[in-house]
Formats: sequence, structure tokens, C-alpha cells
Amino acid sequence: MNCDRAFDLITSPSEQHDSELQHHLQGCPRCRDLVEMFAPALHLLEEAGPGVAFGPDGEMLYWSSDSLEGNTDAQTRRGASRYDSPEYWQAVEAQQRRRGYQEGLKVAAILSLIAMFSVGLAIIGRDNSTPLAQVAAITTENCLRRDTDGKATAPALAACIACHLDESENSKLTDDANIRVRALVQRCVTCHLELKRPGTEIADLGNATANDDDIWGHSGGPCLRLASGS
Amino acid sequence: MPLDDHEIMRLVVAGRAELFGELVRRHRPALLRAALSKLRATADAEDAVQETFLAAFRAQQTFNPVYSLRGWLWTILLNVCRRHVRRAPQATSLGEISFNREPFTTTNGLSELLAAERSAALSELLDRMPEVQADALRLRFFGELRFDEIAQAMQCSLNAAKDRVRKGLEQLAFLAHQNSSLCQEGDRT
Repeated sequence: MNCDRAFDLITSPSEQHDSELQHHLQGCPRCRDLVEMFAPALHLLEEAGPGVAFGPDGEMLYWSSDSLEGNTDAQTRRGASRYDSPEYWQAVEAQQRRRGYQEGLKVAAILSLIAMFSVGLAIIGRDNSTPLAQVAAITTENCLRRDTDGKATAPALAACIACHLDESENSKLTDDANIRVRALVQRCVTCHLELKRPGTEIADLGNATANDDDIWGHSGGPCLRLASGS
Repeated sequence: MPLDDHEIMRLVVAGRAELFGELVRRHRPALLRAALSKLRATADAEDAVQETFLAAFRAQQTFNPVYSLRGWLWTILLNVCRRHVRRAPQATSLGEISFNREPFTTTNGLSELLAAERSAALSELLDRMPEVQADALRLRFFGELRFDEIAQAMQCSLNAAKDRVRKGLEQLAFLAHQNSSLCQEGDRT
């Protein structure tokens, strides 16, 4: 046996105690050193590794190799028809595809929100002297108050945030108006991200003209920038 | 005489999809052990193993019989586990493990508890090692793969596979020693 083969056996969970290996170790100080150096790791892997697995709650899943086999047999026997059936794998595949599609939609929504937010910032940042009315026009152009089909939620919200939370513009407002602006944006976020707000649903935005207070709450009124007349 | 993996795969590709269950039965325990060691949460580990078999079933036509089926499955598992790790942080660390069981009144219960602690400690140490070394140890000791299969699963040369296992053992031994020194110091203070 050469040292390379000895290394194979030393690192093999089932052949560590092979008699041929023991014989080689007696005559090879280099491999003996290696075994000595690896001993704590091998001990750890042998004790806690194969055949012993625990879940996050500490529950024992499998105990020894024997019970692992037994356990698995029992498990697969229970689910034998499941794994043997091509329909099972097709169903799992369909389920995974659905999950992938839903995740894709989520990612697309987040990306479009980020893109719109960046565009909003870029528009504002391009010219610091942008008149408020112009900014307000950009904002209300996408606002769900006008676009009442409820589909443009993310872009509209990005426009709200980009405009209403622009500190350089808000600093020109009085403290009271500033608080009202923030409260207004908070309501935008609540509605547009479909967070729970008692008494207001996204669908309610379609009835904006019927009862504005339902949408803007008690302290608001419509967009403060427009209301300020600038 | 039972069919070998390659023969089963050949029949599955030829249309006998029901035989795929036999491959699941053969390889699931080892894959589950390694996945559990890497992901640390039972549900995630089971998901990862299921995804692995599903991917293998879906890609059955692309399987090359020149290579080992075991190595192929492990390649898929490692990729799936990596994706899981990226998607969500790991569920537990040693300090957070709770033992949601009846009080231990028998020797058996106590040994289960100790084994659970050892298992968690090992997973913790493996997490602190470079990923390729930890994976090489998982493949060798939990999956009991041969070095050529490890090389195939990790897409490296045979020598690199051996080197990763050797360095992994050195590193694990070092960390285990360091850990026990820290414990002893803690006991003294």
C-alpha cells in the first residue's frame, strides 16, 4: 500500500480501521503524523457526522446508519407510490414553476419601483431650480387619484416619494405643512403598498371623487404642493 | 440482482419513469444529511433534496453515463444548497438551538441531547471553514463519495479534491482544538 492509498483509507468513514492501513501506519511515520493531526477532526466527523442528523429544534431525524436505513425505508415505503409515480414529479415540477413565476413577478415589481424612483430622483436632481408646480405636475401625472384603475401603484408611489420627500423643497414649507406632507406620503405608502389601513382599500381609490376624506384622511386634503398654489 | 444506478437511469430515460423512485430511495439519506449540515433547517434540507431530484428527473436526457450518477446528483445538490443559502440566512446557530422535547429522563434521551449538541457544534465549525473545504468534507464523510466523484461534483481535478479534503481536515482539527481551548478557558473563569 502506498501513502496515497493510505490517505484514501484514512479519510474513508468505513475503512479507517482497515487492517492493511494499520499495517502501513506502523511502518510510515509520515502517515502516522497525518492521522494524529487529523484525529480531532476525524473524531468529530465520526461522532457527529454520518448517521446522526438533527433538525433545528434538536429533534432526532436519524440515529445510526442502521436506523437511517430503517428510517429511510419506512419513509420511502410510506411514500413509495409517491416517488414511483411520474405524476408526482410532474406535480412537483408544476408547483415549483408556479413558485418561480410568483417570485419573478415580485422581483419585477421591485425592480420597476426602484427604476421609477431613480427616474424621479434624476428628474428632480437635474435642475435644482425646478419650480414646485412643475414637480407637482410630474407627481400628479402618475398619481392614482387620477389613474384610478389601480394598476400603476408602484410608479405612482415612486413619484409621490420622489417629490414629497424632497428635503430641499420641504424646507421651504412651514413646520405644520411639513408634518402634513409627511403624513400625506405615509398615507400614499400605506395605500399603494396595500398595507392595512382601517377603512381604506386600494379599490376605494376609484371612488376618490365621491368621498375624498376616505382617501386623504382627516388632516390632509389633496396634494399639499398643489393646495399651496405654487 | 439489483440494477445499478446507470442501468436504472437508462431505463428511466427510455420511458420507465417509475424506476426513478429507486434512485430516490438509494441516494436521499446521504443527500439529506449533507443538505441538513449545510442548511441547518430540516424543511430547507428536504426542499433542497427534493429540488435536486426534480432537477435530475427533468434533465434526465442530459445525463452522461460516462460520469457517476452519484457525482451528478451531488453537483446539483451543492448548487441548490448554495442558492438556498443565498436566498435566506441560515436558520440556527449553536446558541439558538432549542430542544423542543419531553424532559430527558433516560440515558437514551441524554445521549440524544449530547449527540444533537455535537452535531450542531460540527455544523458550526464547518460553517466557519472555507466553503470548498467544508463541502469536500461533507461529500467525503456524509455522502461517502469516492474522490473521483467528489472531483466530479465539485468540478475540479482528482488532486484538487484530495487537497480540499486534506486541508478541510486540517482546518477542522484546528478549529476543534481552538474551540476546546476556549471551552476550557471558559470553565476556568
